[in-house]
Amino acid sequence: MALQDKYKELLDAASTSGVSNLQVREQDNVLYIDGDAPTGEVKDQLWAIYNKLDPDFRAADVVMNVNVAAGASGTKATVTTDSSNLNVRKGPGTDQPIVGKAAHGSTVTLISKANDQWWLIKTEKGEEGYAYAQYLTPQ
Amino acid sequence: MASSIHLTKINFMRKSFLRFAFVFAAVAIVVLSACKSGPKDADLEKTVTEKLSAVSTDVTGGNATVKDGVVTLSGVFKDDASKSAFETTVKAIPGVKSVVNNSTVAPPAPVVAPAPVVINGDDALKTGVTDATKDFPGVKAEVKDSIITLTGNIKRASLQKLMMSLHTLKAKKIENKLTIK
Repeated sequence: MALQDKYKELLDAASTSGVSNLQVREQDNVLYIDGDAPTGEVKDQLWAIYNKLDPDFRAADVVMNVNVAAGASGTKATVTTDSSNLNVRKGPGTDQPIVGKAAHGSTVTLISKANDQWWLIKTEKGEEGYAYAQYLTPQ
Repeated sequence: MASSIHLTKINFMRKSFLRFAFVFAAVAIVVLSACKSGPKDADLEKTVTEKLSAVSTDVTGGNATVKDGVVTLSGVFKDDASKSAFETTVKAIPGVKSVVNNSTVAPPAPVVAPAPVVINGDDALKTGVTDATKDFPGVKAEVKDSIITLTGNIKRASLQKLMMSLHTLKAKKIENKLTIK
C-alpha cells in the first residue's frame, strides 16, 4: 500500500477526472494503473502529475497504461507528431511497409483500434493503413 | 299521607343519584383505561411498518407485528448499524413497550480479488519497444524477463513522449537509466 500512498495524488486525479475502467493494482512493488482517459488533456494531466511525483520517471515503480479511449469507428483524430509526417503502414508495426503519409496537423478518420499502439486509420487523401496511436489525438 | 309521599320522593332521588354515580364511574373507568393503554396495537403496527418502508434500502423482507405494545421485528438488514438504528427508532415510538428484534444482518459480500495484471512476454515487448523507440535514435532499450531497461540519451522534452508509448506495452517494469540532455 506504500506505493498507493506515494502516488495518491495521481490516483485521486485519475478517479476524479473521469478515467473509466480504472484499475489500480500493486504487484511485486510496482503500481499498475490501467484505464481509459476521456480526453488527451486528461492523459497529459495524469502524466504531468506522475512526472512531478517521480521526476524523470526514475523510480521504475509505476506502469501507467492509461489511453485515450478511441471513439467509435468514424471518429476524427488530429496528427500530433512533433513536426514530421506520420507514416501510415500496411500492418501494425514499424517493420511493415509504408503505404502513405498523414501530414502533421492534418485530420484522419479512425476505423478501428488494432491495439493500444496501432490504430487503423484513413487519411484525408483516402489512404488506409495503420498509424502509431501515440501521434494521434482524438478530436 | 303527605309525609309518606315525601319519603317516596326522597327515596326516588337517592336511587337516581346512585344510578348516575354508577354510570359516571363506569364511564370514567373506561376513559381512564383507554388513556393508560395508549395507541392500539393495530395503530402501532401501522406506524412501525411505515418506518420500515422509510428504510427500505437497508432491509429486505422487513416485517413488524405488535401485541400488547410489544413490537416483534423480522427481516434482513444490510449491516449491524442499520439494524440497531431501526430498533432505536422503534423504541422511540410512543406506546411501544419493548422490542423483540428477530431481524438479522446480511453476510458481507464476498471480496472479489482483482484480476491479475496482464504482463506481456519478451517477444511481444521487443516488437513494441522497437516501434516505440524508432523515433528516438539515442535511446537503447533492452527487454529481459518482461522488464524494459532504457540506456543511452534523450532530450528532456522527448522523455515523456517515449514513456507514454512504453507504458502501453504491458511491461512488468520500466527501468529508466537514460542520460537526459
